[in-house]
Amino acid sequence: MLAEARTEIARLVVETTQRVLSKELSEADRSRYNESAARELTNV
Amino acid sequence: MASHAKAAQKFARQLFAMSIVDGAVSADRVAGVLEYVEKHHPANPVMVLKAYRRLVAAEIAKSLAVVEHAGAINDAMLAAIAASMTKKYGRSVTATARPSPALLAGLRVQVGDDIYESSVAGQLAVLAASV
Repeated sequence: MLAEARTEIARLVVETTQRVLSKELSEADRSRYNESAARELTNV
Repeated sequence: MASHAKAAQKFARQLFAMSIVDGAVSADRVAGVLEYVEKHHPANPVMVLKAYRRLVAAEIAKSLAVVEHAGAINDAMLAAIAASMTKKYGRSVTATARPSPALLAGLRVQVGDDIYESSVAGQLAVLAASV
């Protein structure tokens, strides 16, 4: 019961975070993130 | 039927082996293979050609890095990823961009069956799986 509630709360938190980030991240934020991601992926 | 399929697979693999030059699919060799099949009508040509096409497509995918991205990326990033994958796989890998807003921000690179990801959506998925 507690485990189920925990999983559901986690799912809702992640879903809400996704929704907020999809609206709040600016193009500049995404661009900066992508530069950092490219650096990370070129070091795999 | 199963033996026909097996024979077609085997023949397709032979044709595929002939299509590789210096570790990469050669367009000239592929054209030569297609010409040969058209001229000599092997048993079950459609089956052979379908199997051959799968093998060629899988090989080409290994030399292509599909870079999914949310937000802008530039040619320098693509070139750096291509260079890094070329070094990692020991063969020439080219990179192509594909927008993927579902990532929220960041990149997901696919080379053949391998996937490398650094994205907000990926981090949230890891977070969701860990709680």
